[in-house]
Amino acid sequence: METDASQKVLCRFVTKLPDELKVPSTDIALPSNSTRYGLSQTINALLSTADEDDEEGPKVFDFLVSGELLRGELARHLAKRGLSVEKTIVIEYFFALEPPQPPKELDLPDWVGAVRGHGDLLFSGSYDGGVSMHRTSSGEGEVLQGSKVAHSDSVSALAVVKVSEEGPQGDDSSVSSMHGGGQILVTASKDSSMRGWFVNKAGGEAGGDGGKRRRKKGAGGKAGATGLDLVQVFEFVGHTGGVESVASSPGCGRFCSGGWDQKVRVWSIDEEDIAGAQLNAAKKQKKATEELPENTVSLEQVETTFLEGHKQCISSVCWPEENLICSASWDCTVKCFDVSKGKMVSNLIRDSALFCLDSSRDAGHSGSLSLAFGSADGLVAVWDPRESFRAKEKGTGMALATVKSFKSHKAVVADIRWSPSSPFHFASCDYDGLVKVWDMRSSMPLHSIELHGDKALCLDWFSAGTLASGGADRKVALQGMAVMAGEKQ
Amino acid sequence: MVRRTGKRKEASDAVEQEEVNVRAVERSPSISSSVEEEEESSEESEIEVGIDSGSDEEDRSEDTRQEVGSGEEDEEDKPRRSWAAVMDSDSEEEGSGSEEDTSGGEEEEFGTDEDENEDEEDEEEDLASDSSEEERENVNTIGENIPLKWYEHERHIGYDVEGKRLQKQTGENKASTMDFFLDKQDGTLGSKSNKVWDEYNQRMVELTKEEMKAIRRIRKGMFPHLSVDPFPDLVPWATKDKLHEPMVDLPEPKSRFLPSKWEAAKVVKLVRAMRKGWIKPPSELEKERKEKEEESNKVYMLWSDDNKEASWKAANGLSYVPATKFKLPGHAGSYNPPKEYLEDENEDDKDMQISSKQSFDCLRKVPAYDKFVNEQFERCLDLYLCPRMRSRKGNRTAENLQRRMAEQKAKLPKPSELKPYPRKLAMEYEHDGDQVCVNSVCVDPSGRWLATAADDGVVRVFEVATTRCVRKWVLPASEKRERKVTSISWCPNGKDVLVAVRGHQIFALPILMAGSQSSSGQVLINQSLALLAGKETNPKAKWSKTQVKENLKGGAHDSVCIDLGKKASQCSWHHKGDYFATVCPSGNNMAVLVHQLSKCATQTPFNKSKGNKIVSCEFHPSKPVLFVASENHVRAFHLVKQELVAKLVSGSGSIISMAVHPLGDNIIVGTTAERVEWFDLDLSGKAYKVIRNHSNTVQDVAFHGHYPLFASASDDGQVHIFHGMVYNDFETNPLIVPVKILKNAHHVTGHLGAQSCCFHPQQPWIFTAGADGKVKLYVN
Repeated sequence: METDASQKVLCRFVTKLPDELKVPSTDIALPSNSTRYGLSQTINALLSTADEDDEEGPKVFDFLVSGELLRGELARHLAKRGLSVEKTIVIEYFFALEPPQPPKELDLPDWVGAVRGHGDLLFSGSYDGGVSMHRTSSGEGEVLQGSKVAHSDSVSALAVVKVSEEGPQGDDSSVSSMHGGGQILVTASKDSSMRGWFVNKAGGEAGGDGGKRRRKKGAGGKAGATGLDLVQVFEFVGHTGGVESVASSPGCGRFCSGGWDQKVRVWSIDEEDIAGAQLNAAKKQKKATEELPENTVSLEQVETTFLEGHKQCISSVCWPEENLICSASWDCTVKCFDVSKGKMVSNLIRDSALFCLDSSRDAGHSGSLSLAFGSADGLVAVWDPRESFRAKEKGTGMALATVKSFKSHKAVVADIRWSPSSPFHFASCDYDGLVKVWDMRSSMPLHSIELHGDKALCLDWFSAGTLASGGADRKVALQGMAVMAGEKQ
Repeated sequence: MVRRTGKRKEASDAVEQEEVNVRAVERSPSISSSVEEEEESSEESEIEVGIDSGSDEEDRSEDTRQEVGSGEEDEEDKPRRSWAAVMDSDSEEEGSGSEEDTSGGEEEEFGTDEDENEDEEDEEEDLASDSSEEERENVNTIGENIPLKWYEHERHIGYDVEGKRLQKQTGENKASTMDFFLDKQDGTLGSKSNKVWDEYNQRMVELTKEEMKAIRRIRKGMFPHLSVDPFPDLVPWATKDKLHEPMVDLPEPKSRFLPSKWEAAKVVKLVRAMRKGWIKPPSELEKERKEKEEESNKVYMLWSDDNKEASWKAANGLSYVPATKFKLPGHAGSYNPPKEYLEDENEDDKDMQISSKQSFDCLRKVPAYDKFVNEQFERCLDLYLCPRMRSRKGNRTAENLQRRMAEQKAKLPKPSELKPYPRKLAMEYEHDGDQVCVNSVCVDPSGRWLATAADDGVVRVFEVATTRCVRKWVLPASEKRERKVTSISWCPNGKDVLVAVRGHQIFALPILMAGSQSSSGQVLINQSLALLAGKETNPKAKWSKTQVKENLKGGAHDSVCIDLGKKASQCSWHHKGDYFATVCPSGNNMAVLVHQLSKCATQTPFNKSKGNKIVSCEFHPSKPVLFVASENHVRAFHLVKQELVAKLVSGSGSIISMAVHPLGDNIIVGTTAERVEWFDLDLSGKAYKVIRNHSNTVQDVAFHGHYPLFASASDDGQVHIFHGMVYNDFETNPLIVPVKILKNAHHVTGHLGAQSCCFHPQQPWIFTAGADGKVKLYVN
């Protein structure tokens, strides 16, 4: 379909960018076959009057027309959505995602089964059962803790669980909050074991804000001078099959896990437990001198409740709201559970086994809840479960689920993570080693980066706008990806 | 004949005498003939007579006239008359005489004749005794064949015995006719004078009394001799009465018992003629004639073809489609149409047509039609350039056809309606080593682990979701026997025990998937090993404890080893997970063995060899039934009742692989003849469907646990996925639809392609293993 270049479309540009990047809100007639590049040039031309001394060169903008990112020609975009070209079109513009830079790579001894970023800390679990810790804020991947054998089998999931509301806030949240005792690292393995760890500063006691003591770790630590140490404090007993996924609650003290035993188990740790654990750790410290195996002494915890419903392996769980747990399973369903009632509230049936699930981050306050999941047939889909909640409230039964599909992956989608900074962006990785960054408003991926030579198995965002992915090529790739939400900046 | 007998002079009986008498009569032929001639008054005879001897003849004729008295008719004009001729004429005379009897005048005469006959009978003796013949011997010797006419102009009239000329009598010797006549008249001779001139012998003969009588009788038309009975009594010999004895005493001739050849030939000829229609029965001829008549008189519509659609077909098979006809002109086409057909000229000038829009008050004013040639040309073009098609009536419209085709298609659902089924390659499970052939794959009942059996004697365990190899069990080879691991099978009850077949040995391995030493599999194995310690084992299947090395995690684990002494090929578990069966193709009655892991016991279910070569055996998923596949048959044995339940016959090739439907009533087998055969135990012992889809031996077939799917893996490197729906009601037969061909699933290496296929227990996924050392997972 060739659009007529002579045809003009009246457009008005709006933006949520700061004032210096705003263009006058007058209607501008643009050729109907103008593309994103053309519009971007227009904006740059409009801005250049105000910003002559901009040395960074032309800025790249993305344009939102009627809720979707503009891809291709403007007229075709409008025609596809049944919009009239005769009315004035409101186009929102914002900075486009910058093209990816060559990634940094961290080597690990085995396949990387799980990565989790916390602040500028990156935890990664590998298939030999080891967990390692890196600090990435310095640009290079600084090894804080080499691979520490945490499990007998491969590590499948990691989560950082906040235990108390108190604790260091702000800038140096990354390290200090971890070893401050307010948060623990939970590791899950395919051998059905789950463990909780303190992150201690190696070679010195970490003074906790809540009166917690940091314990010096024993002989096993291989940490460097600035190294941190992992100390096992909890053993979470309950799973009878391999654990596939762990997710912490948005509140504090709770997390959930799912795996091959087809149950979502909910665990909670309160400050007393922490205290007990610390006491225990102290004992262990003593016993370590008596050459007792380190891992044998840890506080055993049992799950507070479990949620049933799935018929096959639960491949992924997430906890978007305080009272809502979502899980995806190989039985092709996404189920949402009310935690307090212990009941399933919503169920979405797909036609292929689901391998990963994540929810948008700011579910609590922005009012939107989006679940993204990827399946074995390479399909990524986004679904808002609250439609069915509303339908249930009204008593009209199950509403037809509006699921938006994103078709680009050709292999099994291994992991999917929403950007912590934007409700629209998420990233997914597949068994071809590709990592794709998506904007929910566009059916095409923004970027498709081949980060791994083998299967990419896990993925996470850093708050600093970095994407970390681990794969079967025994590498963790760090990809700068400064995602900004359209309305923020 | 008569004369001959006479000449012989042998006979002496009465008959002879008769003949003599007759001769006497004969010797006077001239008399009778002259009489005749006179009576007829024919010119010829007159001339003859005239020539002959005029006077004599006249005398004689007079004499005979007197004597005979009645008109004697005779056609014979010969001078001499044969006896038979006389007899004929006599009989005629008799007939005529009898006619005259009715007239009545001669009745008395007849009666007197009778009297005379009686009188003469007495004298016959005398006649017989003295023969007048002897008295009057012939002097002349010329014989009777020489007519006397020839001697007319001669002086003699023949020759006597001595050869002397017999002189004609003249003068005194011969009394002149006139004298003779006068003598008669005078009475010197007497009215009853019996003298007769013998011309032949030239002498006067005096007739005896008997001769006279004979002459008289002849003249009356009677037989000359009294003893002749002209009307003897008829003896009927052919009567209706059956004769007691045969008339001819001959044996019946053979020909009377044989069918006549001539008749047979004739019949054949007739039959042929009838068949060829050369001859026809009259009824048919009549019929034909009538038909012809009817035809010639038939009345028919001369123009009836015009409206009828021609239904003939040309030689090229195309039927003639008549050209469409012009629409007949209506009012609008008239040269002077009604006003309502005349449109306003202002309204639409463009669409105006002259023919319908113009009006003329009379036909004379209509101009020539200027488009006539153009239209005819167009019409001709249409007729021969435009393909014509007959429009079908009734339910054969295009719509109906489409609908029907759609219905037919709808009978076999589209593959897209039969989702889910494995469609695309998702993962490959890599085997280290140089293209080691993978013989068997098996997924554990939870669907998390995949075990493979390879030619290098290693059992590998992979994690399904990530393709990570988590265990490598190196099976110990005893005394360099077969290295290949041919078959593996997970224990179906969730305990981590894997049975692997390698050569003569069968291993039960504790797979240790739970990651702890107290895995359920290890516990089970340890229990049975403890039992084994104090137990004597079956000599045919030696149970023993073996350490099997595990390469990835390190260490060796206790496991059970069963040595069968013969090469085993396949193993399969009972659904409860305690028994498993193994197959040794060359084991005869030990071919199928059932082992119980918990008791370390081996049973031989069959006393005799079942089938020539056992290929595979499977347990029924719910009943105590064992399916045993030999080369040509699949037999189902009830293990409790110890009887044969069913015997299924493979149609072609020898069976290589077998799979049992999870409900147990259907079986598929793969054969060397590139076929997959589906047997329905409820239907018959023969295959319900035979699918010939592959181009090489079908190495493995598999059913899905709960999706209606089955698959076949073949040496052509392809894996075919089928939808195989089995219905619970007893009326609907299974529905089999091919849904997917996984082409080039495996490279063909050394004539071996895909070796094994196995469905995921929960997902509609299929694992395929090939000789190229790859194991692939296809997901929906």
